[in-house]
Amino acid sequence: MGVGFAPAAWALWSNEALPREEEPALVNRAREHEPAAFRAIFDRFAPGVHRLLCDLLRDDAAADEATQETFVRAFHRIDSIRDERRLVPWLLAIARNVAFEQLRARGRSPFVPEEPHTEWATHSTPEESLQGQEAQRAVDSALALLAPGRRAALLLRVDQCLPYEEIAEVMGWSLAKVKVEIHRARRQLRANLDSELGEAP
Amino acid sequence: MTCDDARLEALAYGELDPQEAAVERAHASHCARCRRELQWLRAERHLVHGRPLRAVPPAVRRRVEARWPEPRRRGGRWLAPLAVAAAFALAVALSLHPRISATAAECPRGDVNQTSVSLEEAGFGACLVATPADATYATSSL
Repeated sequence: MGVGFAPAAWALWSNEALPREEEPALVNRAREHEPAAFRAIFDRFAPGVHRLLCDLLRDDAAADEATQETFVRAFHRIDSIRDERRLVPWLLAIARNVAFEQLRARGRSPFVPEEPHTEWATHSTPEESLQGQEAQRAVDSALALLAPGRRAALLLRVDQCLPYEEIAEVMGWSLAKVKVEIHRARRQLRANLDSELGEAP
Repeated sequence: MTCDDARLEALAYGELDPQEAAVERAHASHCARCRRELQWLRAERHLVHGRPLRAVPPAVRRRVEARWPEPRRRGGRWLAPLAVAAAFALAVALSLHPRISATAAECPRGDVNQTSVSLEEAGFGACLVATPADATYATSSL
């Protein structure tokens, strides 16, 4: 089974398409502190990193600040990448650390679920549950109910399209734990959506 | 063929090669459980991945640019440590050489204008004028 990275997912969010095989050369140029390489890395990966941070922090201003902090840390520690083919998980691991630090600073544990959202107010039919702005809002609310750590693992798979091995790297978990967490996150997300939108597809 | 959620997920995410995908699809078409699982996987991906993307504010990029490290000079990664090592070696060599390391105060005097020489030597922090016949010089240079 060919389980690999899906470059198309990242390409959707970048100003310029960059095949993943070109990342090592980019990392090597960044190691020389070439501004053009820093710029290319930022333009290529900031949208995905920012998206993950918005999802984890659920606060736009905090996500902006965390994105900035992620890239400043990354560029100052660019020499610490051991494998230049792992730029994406390396960046996302920094982003995850920054986000979890912010959550802890706010007194929130990354591993405790949010309280149920009380403003859910949709009663869509199953057909409607798969489309429309209402569905997007419901997904957003259902995601918010997951503990940030579990949410991060699920989003790294479903939204960022990382393979399980790279999710393990980003989260600092074993592969087995990643599989269990994503499985549980899916069940929880579906239950949340089910209760909100009615019967599943 | 047995149900395999990992393969179903790989099918939903376009990670199977065409042959494997055809086999998995054929299985799902006959298995109600896998068909439903596949529907869910596609639906959640569509809903989660299809959410609108909030653009990174330009100010974030500007702030990152303001703080990224200075460009290294070509070869700078090696030249900098080499320059430090060379400077250190020179300092050691100078400190071990008795003639150069003698301070202006210890420096023996000949018949030159002593005030001007002292001023000059103080500027360099080293003995500039020595008399070979002077006993201090003779012993320190051995």
